[in-house]
Amino acid sequence: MFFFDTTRTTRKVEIEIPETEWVARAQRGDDDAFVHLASVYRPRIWSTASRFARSRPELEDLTQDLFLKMWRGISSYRSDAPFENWVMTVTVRGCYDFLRSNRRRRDSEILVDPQDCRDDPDPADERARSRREAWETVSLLLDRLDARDRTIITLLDLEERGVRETAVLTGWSEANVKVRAHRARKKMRDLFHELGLDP
Amino acid sequence: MNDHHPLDRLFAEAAPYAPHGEAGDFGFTTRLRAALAGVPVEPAFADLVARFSWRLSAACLPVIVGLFLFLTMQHQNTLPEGVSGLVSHWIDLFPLGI
Repeated sequence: MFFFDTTRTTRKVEIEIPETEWVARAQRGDDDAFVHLASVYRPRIWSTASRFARSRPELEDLTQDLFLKMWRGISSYRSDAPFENWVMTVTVRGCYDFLRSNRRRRDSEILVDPQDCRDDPDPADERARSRREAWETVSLLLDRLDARDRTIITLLDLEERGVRETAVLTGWSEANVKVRAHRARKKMRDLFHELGLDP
Repeated sequence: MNDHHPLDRLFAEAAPYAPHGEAGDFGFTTRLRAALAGVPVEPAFADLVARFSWRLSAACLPVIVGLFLFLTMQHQNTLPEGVSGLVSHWIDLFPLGI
């Protein structure tokens, strides 16, 4: 019955609550508020983290770890900057830490993700196949870079963020980002030729 | 960036690709809630004080004894002679008349 359908009211109230209020609640230890914020930002976190993980299960674990980091550190967030900036900073730095801590394991194992071997949903979709092949080549080259260079190239060239934004997200200086990006691109170009990937 | 290099075209082609598909919502909140429940809650300052209060009270004891001895030494010459004199001196310090 309509009178007993409380979901409508609840949803309406949730939408009307501003994000700052959700953040304040989460900072006071309200896990419902935090889960709400996590649901809102999950697609963006997933999209960035997907460039650093090699399989979907690894990506699930990585995003879960990122959310736990955010939960532990949310009290340190100050409202003078948008909450999204803080979320993305934690995400990028968490992904960088993930790359560094798993470097040895990633070098020693060859991971085959059944998801990656799947056929595209529509075999006729040439565009999707071309993108996937491009990503596989880029991923092959990124694997040869160290964690810091890989993070910078991912943010600049794949996420298409600016130098300043990359510097803020990583906590490194703009000059450092520029120099590292230049060197990393040169290294990738050399590898590109070495591996005979020229068209 | 030099757009003429094949690597740059490769970046442009790979940028919109989602390597592991879209984030699925199935079971997300349940797993997240379970993970959050496993995170130890950081105690507040008042909780920490309460937790260590008995240790603090024990630690206060030698400080009080030390203070008592120090004051006794300081006022050694001004204290009255004998136990009864000492008792009457201390009793005078009570706010209520005995």
